[in-house]
Amino acid sequence: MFNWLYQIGEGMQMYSRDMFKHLCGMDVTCSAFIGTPYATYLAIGLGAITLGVLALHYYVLDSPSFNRYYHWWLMALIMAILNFAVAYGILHASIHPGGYCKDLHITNSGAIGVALFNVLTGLIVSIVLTWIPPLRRLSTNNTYTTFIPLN
Amino acid sequence: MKKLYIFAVGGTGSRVLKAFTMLIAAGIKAENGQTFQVVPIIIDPHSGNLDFQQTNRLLENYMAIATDIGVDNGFFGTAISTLRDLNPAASRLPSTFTYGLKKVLGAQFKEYIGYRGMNEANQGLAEVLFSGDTVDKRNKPINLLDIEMDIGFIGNPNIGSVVLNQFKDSQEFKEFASSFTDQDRVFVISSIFGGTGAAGFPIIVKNIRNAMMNSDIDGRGYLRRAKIGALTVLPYFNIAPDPKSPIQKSVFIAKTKAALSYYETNMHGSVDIMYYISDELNGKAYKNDPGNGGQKNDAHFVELAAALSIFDYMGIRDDQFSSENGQVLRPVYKEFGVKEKTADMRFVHLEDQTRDKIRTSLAQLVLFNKYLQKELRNTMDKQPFSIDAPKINAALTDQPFYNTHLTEFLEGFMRWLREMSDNKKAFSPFLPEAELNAIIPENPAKTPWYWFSKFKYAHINSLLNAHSKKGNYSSERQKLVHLFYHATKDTLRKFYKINS
Repeated sequence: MFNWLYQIGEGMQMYSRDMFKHLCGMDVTCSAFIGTPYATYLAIGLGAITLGVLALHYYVLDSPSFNRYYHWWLMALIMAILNFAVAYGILHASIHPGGYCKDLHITNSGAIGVALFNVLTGLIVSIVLTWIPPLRRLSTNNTYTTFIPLN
Repeated sequence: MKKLYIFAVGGTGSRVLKAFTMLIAAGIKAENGQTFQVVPIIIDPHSGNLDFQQTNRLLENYMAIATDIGVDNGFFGTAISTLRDLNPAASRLPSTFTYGLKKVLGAQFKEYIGYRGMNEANQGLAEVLFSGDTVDKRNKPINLLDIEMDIGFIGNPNIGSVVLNQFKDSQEFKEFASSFTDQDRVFVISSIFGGTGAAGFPIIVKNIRNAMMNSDIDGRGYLRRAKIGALTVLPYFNIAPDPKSPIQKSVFIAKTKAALSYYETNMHGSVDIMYYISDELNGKAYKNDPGNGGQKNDAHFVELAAALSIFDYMGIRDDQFSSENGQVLRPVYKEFGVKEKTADMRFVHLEDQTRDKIRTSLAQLVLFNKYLQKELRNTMDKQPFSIDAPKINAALTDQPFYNTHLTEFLEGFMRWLREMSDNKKAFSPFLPEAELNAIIPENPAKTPWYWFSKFKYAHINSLLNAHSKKGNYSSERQKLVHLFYHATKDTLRKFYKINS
């Protein structure tokens, strides 16, 4: 379902074509894309972490003491660490010998590349979502909180 | 809107009017939802009196604020105006709250009554009627006839009653009469133990009730059946003994008895609702200064309690008044009491009704002032309530509205609280200089334990931000006052657990 997303990362040469195929679910026999759909898992993890951290900042904490643009970047850093850790953790566990199609050339640096792609995507999604005033308006204390000072 | 004309006579009149102004600024209103446009008229020949000057300045600042932002913002929620402002096109009066007594500036009483032009018999009569000694501006002993009236009547109502009688022929009285309607009311504040107030109260009431005999004024019928309330302040403060001074604590009671006796005979049936208030005379002794400096007394709880009578009066329904041919059919007499008498009073010592009337509103204004002093500049351009249009930023604090009218008013308010707190009897329900969570000692602010944070300005900011989202404001000045009224009310409810 989210293969298109990780095709972008592959296009950006953040990881290899083989890693992309692995993400798309190439099975261990290399016969079809019927294996574990890592792209979907990674995208769901990415979405959950990104939206979760934003919701925590804007609607749960929603604090007047934590609503400056640099607080946004602090939350973005936390989000990046989580996105990286979750993506890398999932992929790292999947690339042990015999755990994936033997025709694919998959390395640890490829897993790091995917994790970095998730970090980048999470950051972009956060920037886009928090740039939109109506979403910020749902918050009480963060109506002017985004990645740059608005005033 | 119905109007309430408040005649504040003498030094006590000014001080009670000052207390009333503080209370309406805090947002206190009459019961029963009755609203009035208040028209204060200060009557005091002693224009150098600091109480008089402070009250006048306070009213000017109040009016400037209320005129700018309107009266629907909680704080400053009662409209006030000068007599001139009721009809500025036709008025011949200056825009002031004070009644300018004629021929008293630098004049001796004997000049005022034309003593030198009298024949010998009349001079003799004047000497009998106005016998006795007093002091001049330099505290030098003089005869009563030589009294210099621009320092007041120095406890001589017999002088005051002559001089203040010019009120009925004044432009102020004419414009008061012409603007007075059947819906309007009159309230007279005076003390009974001095000179100006004791003399002024009967004169004002008499001239209103006898308006039919004054062909120079309009609205005579309305005035004759006017609803009149009056507050008479009986002795309530101590004064330092000074054998050379004509003001003596020992004569306060004698003068009070004499005046009460006069009221009983001459005022019964003239006033619809009469309020009496008093206190022990053994508190902190005020400086005895009848001279040019004038009596400058610290604010006293009795003045606050006295001012509450005006709210009580405003809250009385029209159908509870009844008069016929200028005679009140059912005069009512009221007094004030507290739950517990103590030298250092707090809210807990007040009757519940009194406490509920003033506690929240006064605390809101204290909190508003505290925030403006300590936190506003830290939040400008940072918190949403400050950034939302219209912006609350440095441009606002540079405006006269903020740096003159509001600042001066709040300084006066805090000084008034401080004076009441330092006085004996003291009224000290606030510690304005304490930490934010401790400014109301009876109700320290607390946060739920699971917040892991003690109460701080950020909690007020959050409430300000929440109210700012809901509001629609005509100007940054209106927004400032409106927002803080609601945010401070919520703050007191949520964190100080004060609901009324």
